[in-house]
Amino acid sequence: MFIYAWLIFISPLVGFVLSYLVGIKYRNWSGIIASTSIGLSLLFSYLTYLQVNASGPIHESVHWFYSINYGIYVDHLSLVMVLMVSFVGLMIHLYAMHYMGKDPNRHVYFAETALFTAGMLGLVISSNLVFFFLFWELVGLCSYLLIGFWFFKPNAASAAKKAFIVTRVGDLLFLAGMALLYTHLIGFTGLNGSSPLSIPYLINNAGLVAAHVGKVTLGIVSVLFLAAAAGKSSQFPLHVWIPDAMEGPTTVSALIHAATMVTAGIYLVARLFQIFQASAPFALESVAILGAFTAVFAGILGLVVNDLKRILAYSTISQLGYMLAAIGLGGFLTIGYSGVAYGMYHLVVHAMFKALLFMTAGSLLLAMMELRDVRRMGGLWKRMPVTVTLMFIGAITLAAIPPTAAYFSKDAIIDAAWTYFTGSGYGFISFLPWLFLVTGALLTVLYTFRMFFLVALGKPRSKLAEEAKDPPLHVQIPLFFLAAFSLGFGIWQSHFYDYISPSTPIPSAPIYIEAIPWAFIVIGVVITYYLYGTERWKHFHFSGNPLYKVVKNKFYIDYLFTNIIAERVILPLSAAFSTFESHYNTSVDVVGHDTMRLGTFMRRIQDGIIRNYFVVLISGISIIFIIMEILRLI
Amino acid sequence: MLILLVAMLSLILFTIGLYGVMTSNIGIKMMISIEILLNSGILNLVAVGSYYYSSQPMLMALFAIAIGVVESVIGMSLLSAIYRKFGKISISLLKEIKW
Repeated sequence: MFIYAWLIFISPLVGFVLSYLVGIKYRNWSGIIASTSIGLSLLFSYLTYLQVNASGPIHESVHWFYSINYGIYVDHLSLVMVLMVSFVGLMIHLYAMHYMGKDPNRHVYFAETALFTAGMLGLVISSNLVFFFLFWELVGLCSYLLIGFWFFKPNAASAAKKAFIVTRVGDLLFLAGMALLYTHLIGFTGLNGSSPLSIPYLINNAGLVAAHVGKVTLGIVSVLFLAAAAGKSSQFPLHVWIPDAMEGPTTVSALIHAATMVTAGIYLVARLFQIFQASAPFALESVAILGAFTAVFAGILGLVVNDLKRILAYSTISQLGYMLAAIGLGGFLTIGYSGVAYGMYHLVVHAMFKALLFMTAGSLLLAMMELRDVRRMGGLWKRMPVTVTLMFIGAITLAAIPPTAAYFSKDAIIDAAWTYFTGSGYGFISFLPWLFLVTGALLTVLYTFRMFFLVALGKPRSKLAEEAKDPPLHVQIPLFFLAAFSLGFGIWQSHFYDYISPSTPIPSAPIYIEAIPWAFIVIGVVITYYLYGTERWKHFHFSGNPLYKVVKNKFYIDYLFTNIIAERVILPLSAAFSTFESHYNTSVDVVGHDTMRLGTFMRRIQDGIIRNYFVVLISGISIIFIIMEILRLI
Repeated sequence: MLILLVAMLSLILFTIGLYGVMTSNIGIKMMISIEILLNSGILNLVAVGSYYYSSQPMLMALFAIAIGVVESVIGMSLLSAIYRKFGKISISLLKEIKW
């Protein structure tokens, strides 16, 4: 049986090389080649799906170095990811051929996005954590390159650097977690010849590993992995890079937010869920609390931003918080591995509608000449009916209005949080996830419809908005696919859950609890329509309000990082080290210089006159003889 | 008494050789002086050997003669190299190849 799974990530890698090389001469072909390579990975993913259905998980690994292997491991969880990434990636690539159609460097763009997708696909199916980490870094590198694609814009260049550095913090902790796990597991007899960092080994023998390593140590490892996921998936407090990353092309934002970048962190936690579960309970509890808190936190920030893409960016952070919280709730016994199913379902649904939202935003921004301020838009529903209708579908899905797919995925998470609260004895800590998540639902409705009403309704508030037009219909075909999935994916809810973990219960809660998110949807839509559906918002001025100021400044977290940690801690430290280094440098120079001077002085003895050498020789021997005589006399 | 005479002769030869080495500027003259120096040493060895009726100093003397031949060959080849380079054999020319 031929294993197609290897080709899943090799195909875009080949596409990366080809689309660049061909694109040097024929710019228009690069997009076609990149899209074809990703279409091929979608095909191979489907073939792998059939293989896995027929004969169970695929695991192939080859010895690499020491006790590290490289290889592929494809089970249901990674299959869902692979299918999602290649499908959404293909849609985004197809749309990007229109969006980037005029850019002079589009061959570089398509080569980089193909590499980006290859990195993500490789990450999803890799069988060893070290191999996983390799692709993890590849994804980070590509995000840096693509966010800074318009590097001539100073904002884009600094945003790319920020994204790279912030995710590096998480990567370092990931590496630390791997090293800790490796040192504890190396030499463990229970390995049975498998690599200590092999993913299938870790997830199938999590109990054995926990018994050998110790629950608390494994918990620390898990928290380090959680920190890595927080860096990649932009969870609090490492979320600061994602809003700035909006400086890149919009299709890149779509790729980062939907398919390739931020889902990697969630996938890491879902992949190693068994390790999290087998370790001390604080590991999954911190996952749940962090995710739920981020869901609210980013939602609050999303309320005050005026940049169209940044609102979407904060919504991504918030939705990623939901996924992480769902996985974290799996720490509770009656939920267990179903938590991963809830989280992954939301992840897939989110990928669909977020790609849709970003690509409609891309169409808007093409019409608005990259003017991203929602206050300057307005009245676009009449002028760009197709685009804004698609955006409306994305918006109602983001706001989880029934019967869109996100309603099923998000309500399941909120109800699971309620189950966790009731099942674990009505404690305050166990109440927090539900409280955060349900508040997050209200905030989601508020920021989504604030954005949508500002864009779609009212009168055009700028010249560009008056003249905006829909892009041609054929370039919007990918968006229709995504819109159809956003609307209709909900019918596969229980199928999907059972595919990830067999016989998953669909969580339920008492009707008065179920009704709270519904009520929030109604309240949210009414408030936002009252304010932003009309021109009333112009009469409200919050700028003097201290609370507004705090939120507008992103709770001073960026300020904390750049002005306090970077400027007050890192800069003096690096200055001190550089002073030390320069002194050290000087000392080395002085030693060398003085030795040279001594040599210049001493070599005068060797003047090349043989007579003088003889004098020195004879007198030296004479002195030795005289000393010997004296010693003999004594 | 005879050993003292031979030792004195050896000392005289040594002094002549040393004087020749230190005062000469011509390479060939210097080589000859070095040979005299060497021979004074060998003479001393032979004298000691015959005085003590021992064969070991004689062996050492033979060894030194062999070494001396080799040394003079090397010295002569160096001198001929100098001659080829400068056209004459003057030791003071070697000042130019210091450091």
